[in-house]
Amino acid sequence: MLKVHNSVAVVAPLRAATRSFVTRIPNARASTSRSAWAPRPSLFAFSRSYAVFSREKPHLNIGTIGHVDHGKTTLTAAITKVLSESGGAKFTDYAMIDKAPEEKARGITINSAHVEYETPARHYGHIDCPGHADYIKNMITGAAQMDGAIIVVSATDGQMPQTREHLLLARQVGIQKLVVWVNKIDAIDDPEMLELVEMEMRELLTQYSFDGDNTPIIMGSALAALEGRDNEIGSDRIKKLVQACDDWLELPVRDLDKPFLMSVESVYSIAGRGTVVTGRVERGSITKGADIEILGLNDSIRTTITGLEMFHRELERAQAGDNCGALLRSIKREQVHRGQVLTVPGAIKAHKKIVATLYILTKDEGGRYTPFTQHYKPQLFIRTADITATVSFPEGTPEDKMVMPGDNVEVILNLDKHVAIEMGSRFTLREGNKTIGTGIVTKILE
Amino acid sequence: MHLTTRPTALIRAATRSRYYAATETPEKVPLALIKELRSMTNVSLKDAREALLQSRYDVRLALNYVRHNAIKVGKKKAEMLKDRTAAEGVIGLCMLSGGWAGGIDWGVRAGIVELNCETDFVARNADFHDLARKIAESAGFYWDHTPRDQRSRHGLESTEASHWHRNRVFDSTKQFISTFPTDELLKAPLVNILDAPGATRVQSAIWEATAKFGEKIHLRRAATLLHPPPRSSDRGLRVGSYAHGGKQFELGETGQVVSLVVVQMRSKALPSKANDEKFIGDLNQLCTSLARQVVGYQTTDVGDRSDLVKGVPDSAKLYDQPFAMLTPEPTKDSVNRVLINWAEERGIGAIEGDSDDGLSILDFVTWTVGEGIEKEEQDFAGEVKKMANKYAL
Repeated sequence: MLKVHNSVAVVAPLRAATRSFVTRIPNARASTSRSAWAPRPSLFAFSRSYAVFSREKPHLNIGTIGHVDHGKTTLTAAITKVLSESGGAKFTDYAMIDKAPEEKARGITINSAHVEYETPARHYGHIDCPGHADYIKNMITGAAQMDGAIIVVSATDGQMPQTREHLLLARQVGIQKLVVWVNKIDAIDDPEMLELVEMEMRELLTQYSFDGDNTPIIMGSALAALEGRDNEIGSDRIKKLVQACDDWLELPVRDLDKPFLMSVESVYSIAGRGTVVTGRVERGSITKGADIEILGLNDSIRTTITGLEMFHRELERAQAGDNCGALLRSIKREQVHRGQVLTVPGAIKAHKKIVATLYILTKDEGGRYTPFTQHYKPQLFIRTADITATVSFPEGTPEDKMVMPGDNVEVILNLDKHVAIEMGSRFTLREGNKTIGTGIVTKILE
Repeated sequence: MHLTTRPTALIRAATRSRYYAATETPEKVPLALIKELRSMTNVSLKDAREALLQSRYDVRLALNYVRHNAIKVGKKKAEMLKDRTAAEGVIGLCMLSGGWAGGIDWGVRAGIVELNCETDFVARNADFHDLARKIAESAGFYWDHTPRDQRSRHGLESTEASHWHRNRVFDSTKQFISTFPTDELLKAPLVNILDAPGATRVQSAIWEATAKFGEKIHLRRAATLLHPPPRSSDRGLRVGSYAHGGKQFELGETGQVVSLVVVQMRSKALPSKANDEKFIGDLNQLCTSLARQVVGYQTTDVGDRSDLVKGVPDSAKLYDQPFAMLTPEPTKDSVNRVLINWAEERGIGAIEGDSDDGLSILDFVTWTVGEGIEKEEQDFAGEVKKMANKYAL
């Protein structure tokens, strides 16, 4: 998931603490957490997946899905052209995209190049989606992300058998809303055919549980827009398409706007003050004095944060991205463990049985070189937690199903301890010292 | 990403005037009919309209027209797309006869083909899988009907990626798995035992699919596994197969990685097993496990029978590997050890001193989709940039 940090003013009173209760906040190098340590967003504009861009407008990741010859490239070029005429687009070279070090270490190659552009309302990162398996892999590993998609269909061909596969992919990766672009409308003889394209498309969308009746279907010629001719089917329609994206596609909730969640990295007992946990605030924000819940591994415990500290300074408020320490009221050191989370009570629950989509790393990516079958027991790592998981397959799968390195597969994971996890949570699977796969939670069972 | 250069501006001007000029109204074709035809055939809008115009709105006639036209359209399209890379696709496998199974032994016969396309969106489509399966059926069916001199002219060379093992035990003059030259296979009729007679050639069926999917579709390689039943009733051949990540059909299957393993049984006790259903079931399971083993472990060779009890995890030799893919219970014992024990437990083990006796592996083949094809690097942002620059003011 793209981490979007808001550039808010530093709210913490920068009063030097007279007595620091945290002396061992993990620094970037010593940290054993998978998540990279991030500096204060107010100091550095920092984004893991993408190059630095303006944060004044909300950001949305968008993708084009369609047949190889239906004009995805032309459309994207046309969008940038039309928008750059109003001063919004710029090209970003793929080489500039920041790759997270841990992704390099895991040997995952990021295949998705992207184009950025801005509308008056939003900032878009636009990727192409040339294949199913590649995109699923990039989605699971967090290398590419589509929050919404433009389905491209040529007016001459209409939807094709693989259009169903395009919609299936969108469904599978959790895209809720689509916009349809019907391209090449200047290449057909009978304008009535466009009605048919639309009718068929709406039916198909409904069939794949999208909102077929209300999904915007925009028709035009991307080439006309690019060539700067026939504005009424060229640039005007591109503007309409962009408007439809702005209006119809929904922004994902930013990490900062989600309920507070902090992973427990270490627990310390500070004489005279009590128990302090340190870790990274994954999302949301919290203020001193707030009620929180400690979740995972054991039964949940409710308590209050009586102090917050970062860089040996006291804070009134900690927010997503901060590495901080939290002083907990009347909690013994033995009651809190690495792998648990602090959260706003009820915001997230701990579970033991989940359905997930996995990508199994190949030997070249540092993964296994042999297949596995059901009853396989890797370690599941999520945030700071490390739990044994037992693999099984959804009902109806043959008993002897075998999973090979390089496969995308849906599995049921039985965890031997409870852990705070929810739909869309990402995790890795390891065996010994080897990362063998990454996954994303698609359903909670228990 | 390629963009075929579109017809000249001349044509564009013409179509544009047609689109805007109300005076020159094109003939109206009822939309409901087009829709009906498309739901039956998947034909493109333009072709559906044309078919209906040609057949004066008779859907039944139009259907016929679509069939014949699709081959023509596909052929033209295939010519246009021939320089593109098709690195996705499926392996089709059709086992027509799996060998010894108690009753009459028909020998072993199977076909295996790789059918490529450009994107895995197409490679996931059920019709595409069905086509690969059907071509595999043809490959299994027609090999021995190809004139003998043709077969020897093409030789029995292995393709770069198929691993085959020369059998030294059973009959040194014969291989089990031979390459079926794709240009010969394209000429063969498309076998279609389950459906009504297809009455089309493999090549035509591929052109039809090209028209339907609008991508380059390429029959990359084909092979046939063929052996008549052994003359002696003390001998039996059995083939195990496994297809990973594909679809199952009533006859045949498809996958991203597919394997075939030929197993020989030689024992005086074999005829007595002819009615032993448990034995036949166990044998099938064992052969399938071997095929899974070949796919799961990177196997290049059958290897020699040795005294290894525990398998060697990194070995590329099938006999030496730990039999981790054995169903129902995986084991660390070597494949060789498992086969010896299996045969002994069931009374068809080797007589001491004769290593050809009992259960042995004669040949195997594994294919992976797209192996050896260099995929073009996708640079979407670069393509977009190039295109935008081309039309920049």
